Amino acid sequence: MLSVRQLVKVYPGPVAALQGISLDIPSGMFGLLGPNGAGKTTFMRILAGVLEPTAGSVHLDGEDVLANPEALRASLGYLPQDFGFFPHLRGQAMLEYLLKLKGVTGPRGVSALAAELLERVNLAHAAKRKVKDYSGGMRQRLGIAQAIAGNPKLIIVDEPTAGLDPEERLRFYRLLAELAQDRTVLLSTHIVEDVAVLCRRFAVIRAGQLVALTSPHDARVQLAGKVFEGDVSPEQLDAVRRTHRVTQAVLVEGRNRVRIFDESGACPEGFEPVGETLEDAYFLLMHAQPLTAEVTA
Amino acid sequence: MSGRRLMVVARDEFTLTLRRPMVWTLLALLLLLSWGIAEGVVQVALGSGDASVGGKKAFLTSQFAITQIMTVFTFTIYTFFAAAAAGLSVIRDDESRALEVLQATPLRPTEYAWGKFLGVSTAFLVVLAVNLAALILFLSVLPNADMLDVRGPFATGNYLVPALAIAVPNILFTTGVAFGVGTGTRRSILVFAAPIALLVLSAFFLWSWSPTWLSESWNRVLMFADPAAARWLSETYLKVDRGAEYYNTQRVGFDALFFANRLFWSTIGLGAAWLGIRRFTRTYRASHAMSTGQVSAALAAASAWSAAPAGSNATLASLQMTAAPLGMWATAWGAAGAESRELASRAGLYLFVPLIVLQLLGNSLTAIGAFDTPLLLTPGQLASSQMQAMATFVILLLVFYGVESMERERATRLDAIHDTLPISTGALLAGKLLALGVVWLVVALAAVLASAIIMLVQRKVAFSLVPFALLWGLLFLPTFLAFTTFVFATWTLVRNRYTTYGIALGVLGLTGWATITERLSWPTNWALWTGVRWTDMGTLEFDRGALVLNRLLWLSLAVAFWRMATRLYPRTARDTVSLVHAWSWPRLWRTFRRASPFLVAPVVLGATLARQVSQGPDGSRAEKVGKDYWKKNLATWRDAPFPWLKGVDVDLTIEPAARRYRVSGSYLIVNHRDTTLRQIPLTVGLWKEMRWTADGDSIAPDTASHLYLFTLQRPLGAGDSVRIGFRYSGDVSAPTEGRGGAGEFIIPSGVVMTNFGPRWFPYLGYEPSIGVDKDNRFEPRQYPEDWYVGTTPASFGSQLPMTVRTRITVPGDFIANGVGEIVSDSVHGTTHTVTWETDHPVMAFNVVAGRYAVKRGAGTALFYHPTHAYNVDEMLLALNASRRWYGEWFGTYPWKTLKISEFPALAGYAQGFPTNISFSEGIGFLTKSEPKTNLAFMVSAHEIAHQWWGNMLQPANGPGANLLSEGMAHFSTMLLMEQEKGERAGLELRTRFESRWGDGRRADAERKLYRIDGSKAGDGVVTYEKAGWTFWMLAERMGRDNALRGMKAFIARFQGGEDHAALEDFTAHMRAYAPDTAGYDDFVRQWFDTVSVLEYKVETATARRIAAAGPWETEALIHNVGNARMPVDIGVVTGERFPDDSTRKAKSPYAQALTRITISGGDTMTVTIRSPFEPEKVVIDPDVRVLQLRRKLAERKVEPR
Repeated sequence: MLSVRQLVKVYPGPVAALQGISLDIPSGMFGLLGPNGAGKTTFMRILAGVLEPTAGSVHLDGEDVLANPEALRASLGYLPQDFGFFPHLRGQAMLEYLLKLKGVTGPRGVSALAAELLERVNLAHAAKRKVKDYSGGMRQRLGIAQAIAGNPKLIIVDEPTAGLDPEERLRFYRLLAELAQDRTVLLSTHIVEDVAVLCRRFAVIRAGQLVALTSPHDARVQLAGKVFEGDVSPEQLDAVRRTHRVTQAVLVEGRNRVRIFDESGACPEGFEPVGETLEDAYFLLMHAQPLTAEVTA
Repeated sequence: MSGRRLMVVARDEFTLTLRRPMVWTLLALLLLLSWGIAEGVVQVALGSGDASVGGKKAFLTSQFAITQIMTVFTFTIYTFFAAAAAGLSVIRDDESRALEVLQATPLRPTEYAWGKFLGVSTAFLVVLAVNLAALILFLSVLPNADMLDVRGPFATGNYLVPALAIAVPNILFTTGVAFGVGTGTRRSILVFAAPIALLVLSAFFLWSWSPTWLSESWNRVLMFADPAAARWLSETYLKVDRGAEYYNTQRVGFDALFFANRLFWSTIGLGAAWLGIRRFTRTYRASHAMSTGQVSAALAAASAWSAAPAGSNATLASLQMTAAPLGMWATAWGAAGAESRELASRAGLYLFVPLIVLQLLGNSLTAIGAFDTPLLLTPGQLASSQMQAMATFVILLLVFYGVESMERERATRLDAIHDTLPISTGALLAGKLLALGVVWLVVALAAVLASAIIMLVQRKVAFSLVPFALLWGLLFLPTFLAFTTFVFATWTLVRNRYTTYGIALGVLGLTGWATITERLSWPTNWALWTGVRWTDMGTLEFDRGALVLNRLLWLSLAVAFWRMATRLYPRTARDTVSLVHAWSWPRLWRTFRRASPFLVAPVVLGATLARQVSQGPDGSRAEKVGKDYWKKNLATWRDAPFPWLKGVDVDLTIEPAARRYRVSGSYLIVNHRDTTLRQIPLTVGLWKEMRWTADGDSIAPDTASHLYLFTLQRPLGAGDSVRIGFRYSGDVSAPTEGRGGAGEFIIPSGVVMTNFGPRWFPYLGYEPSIGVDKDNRFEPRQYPEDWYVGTTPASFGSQLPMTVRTRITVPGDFIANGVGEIVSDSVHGTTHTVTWETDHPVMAFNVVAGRYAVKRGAGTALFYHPTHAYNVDEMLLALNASRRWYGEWFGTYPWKTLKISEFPALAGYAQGFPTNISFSEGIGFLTKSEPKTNLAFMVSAHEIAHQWWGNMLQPANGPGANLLSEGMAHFSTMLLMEQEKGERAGLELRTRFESRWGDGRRADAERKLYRIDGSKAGDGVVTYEKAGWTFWMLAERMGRDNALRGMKAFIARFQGGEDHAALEDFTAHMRAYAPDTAGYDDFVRQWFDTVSVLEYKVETATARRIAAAGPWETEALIHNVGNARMPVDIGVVTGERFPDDSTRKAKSPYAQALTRITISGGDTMTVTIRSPFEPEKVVIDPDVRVLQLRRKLAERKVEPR
């Protein structure tokens, strides 16, 4: 169990990136959703021990990881949002280097393990190429390989599917899902579908504050029968926005394809009921009031 | 290409460059240096003589001065800044990913890159303009009453011409090469490597390497090869000093070679920029420019990949991964592996290592000893002589690689992952340290390999790894650790690559300054740039305790730096609020408390070392004693009458291992004056347990004045004598300040003690040089023209010869040599006692001891370190030949045995005490002597000659008199070389001495021989070489036999007398032996009483055959550029006179036809010479019988008429 209490982070400026987030993250896959600049990466970096918070505490299974980051590092798998590798090392050598430093090995040694891990992330064909020649997606997969290596108690992955093609994304889902069976995996993303597919529970943060803590199922259930979709002319769109909560509006061939949420469940004229999605829930949650610490803890 | 877009980029880069703190730092530095030059506190000099800017007479504002300033400034100071700004210009955009954004704009790569280059180059031209303005302001505009004598009239051309001819091409070259390298490779380390490589190559080779045998054509090649044009300036105008008047009034005349050089190197700069831009353009939107073959290979690999199964879908669990944190060393080893591979990928290393090896090879092969004789290198001498260069290079590498190593994770953005790994920071940094250690190891091994090759080429000395392992390994280890951890700690503190570079280079610069200004001492000498003096006779015995403490001190500081680096290494980004709190007093106190255990050892070791140094021979204690001595006694005793030493009887027990000694004995002191003396002053050393007697009765001297005053119960009347007895002990184990060696010493492997000064034995009277330093240094005494008339005192040693008996007790395996003959020699247990007594009176005495092998000749003996037998035969030949010929020429040697003893090279001199000459290792014993050069013979012959010229004849204490010692020793050597080794050896030695004078003379400072007192720059080459040559020419002019008769009589006249010889006495005496007194007087007037120079130039030389089979007639126009008038041979020659390969049949045998002419200074003369052979060259003085300046101009190839 990862326990976060009143986490505050203020950058010089001052910019309050986190405004007192409290959260308990149980074993399993946990999603963290939020718009750009919401504070997700700051939150993840603090949990990974690479950024000192202004205030607050973080405990992993009772251990204070801020006071003793060494203890966390021994049980952490971390894939940051922005990272690189030694450009002149080959992929296999780079991974071996990181495995060695992590103290990770397999029955047939580090080299064999590195080769197998590269296979798991579909990089075996590029194992002998220098990392500087890797594409963005390949680098991301090499990052994934190092993050999942060993048996970390806590895996933190920040925007892990960025740059991955659909096939690799699915492959990664499968790996994460396997890992999440017996440990905590914290997934930060702004791709709602990732959370919908993978996470049992997730949190939404906005402007450094926690605004929702729920499960994909619960989030969707609350919207059942209350989501409608219809075509609206550009002139009508403002009127619809004034009367309903619009979760999506896409301009297609001169008309807006609009999804709305109506608390009463009454279908407006020109709209028809559709199935609710987690994306609908996310957009609605973005407007919710911040949760109190008592609720989240 | 769009000019508008290019200019936008150029303007932007120009503004950005000028805004950089780096450029402001450069400007501040240039302003400071310009001010320093104007104030006379900074000097810039490429050549010799008073041409040095900031010198006493040359104008700071002359075109020559500004040209030197521009050359040195732009090629040394500008270089690093310009390289950083130009070289990193594109790299910075690349690293910040701004390049990716620019790639999406219509801006073309050529526009971007040329715009960048234009902007950054222009910015540095603006810096140059400001620099120029500052020089004009400080040197020519702002008033400065103190520097009026070095300020000439303002001339715009003096500033503009050097700026355009020297500075602009240099800036174009530096910025062009750096920009090309940086833009083409996008590797920052190469950007710094290139200027450093060029600077080292220039400063240590191109600007300084100019042996006399280098041909003019090769010299011109090297001038062309120098990108700074400094060699051209030096060789064309400065090497042979032309005097301040010339430099102050003339313009720098540029020749075709200069223009070719400037054009070539400017083109190289622009060409490098073009090449870099070309490569950049090709890779602007693609990661690589690929050949067709590479493209095909890539396509094949891609199709193979697409055909391959798309990864494994097996579970992670099937991998059966296990994880356990690694231990410290396993982690460090792993980190070191990756770090080493990254370092190995840096091209800089491959550039630096050969450069370092080349530099070491160059330094080693050009190492010189006494009289510029090349040195025979032993492993220890080589390792120690190159230790400073080695340390400097490795430290420079550590600056760049250390910073890059610390930056690596951040620069590659691996830090995001790396910082979360379960490894300790200490292990991570240890890995980096190990990888940098590998860099050091690679450099050291490459240098050792080069050294082994040197040894192999020398063929005389066996190679040994031990000194290298000791000096470059063990002793350098604390330097390596301290500096690397310092770089680590600095980086972790400032977390900025450039600031860390600046601080680390600043520390290096500061250390260099402290070294040059002699402020470095054992506690501060972290890089061991000075202080380590090697001798093959014993390993690091001198100041060994201080050396060990110094190494421990810097090791302990390395630990402290290490602690700081590991504590501050930014694995977790600190919060601003907590950082603010960290500056609170309680937090600071807590930080200090935590750090204090790591500071204890450095503080204790540093304090101990500082205290030891303060107690040493040049420490504060000795300095205070010396100052007190000077202050209290100068007025009273400087000109007071002293009695003279008549006899010395000393029992000396030396414990070399403990560096202690005990003395008991007595001086027989005689009052040779008319007045009665009531007090006898003796200057004493820093001794303990002193006991004194007068004629056997105990006496307590008055010690209040720091000069021990013995008030006699019975005043010493004229002719009376008293025997002052003494007993004391001394300890010389306290360290020096660590700037090198010592002239006299007791160390476990050797002993050198003399009675010059009060260090070991009581010194009769007041010693005026004690307690004098830069604060109370005074100008040399001015003597009247007739100073030598009457009885003149001796310049050194006792005023009248004395008898000396020394009973020396040393360890059993030591041989102890004193003056005179052995009268008893015994070994008791572990001690060896030998008694020496003079068989003929002497004027000074010394003791030299060590573990020697000995080789004896006829009345001669050579005591040498058993492994230094390389030149023993040649030196013994010199000993025997000297005894014979000098005896014949200058008078019979009055002592029975003449011996030379080798001593450890803690100092590099030789001293000719009567019968007991001491030679440092590097003199003679380790001279690289070949049959062709006879250099060991030469240095031995010079020192042995002092038995006659210095001992039998003691020079007076006054100007010019020392020339009778040193100049006559050189003259004797010239004679002996020709006598023993033949015409060729004599001719080559004379040429050698002539070159030394030509290269070392200071035209403006040179005075007539009668006035040379060693106080002026350039006096050295006049005292030795010019004086030796003058005596030679004198002997030639008056006939050698006449001259030798006169010299022999001169020594006999002054030997053992109360009056001592002055140079004026010599010229007056020799007149009686001259067959042509008018010619003699003319010679003396020109060469002793005025400063005369012969400088001939063959302006034209043409020849024709008079008849079909008749002789040849050569016509030459000769110009005497100098001011002296001497008869001189002029000849036409053909063939090779002394072919190196005597087995090869000469193309044509050597022949010469001579005629003798006399041309006054400044005159020209047409000379016609007939020869029975077709002449090749016209040569003035082909037999090298007159001293000339720039002899190369005194010959010319003959053209057909």
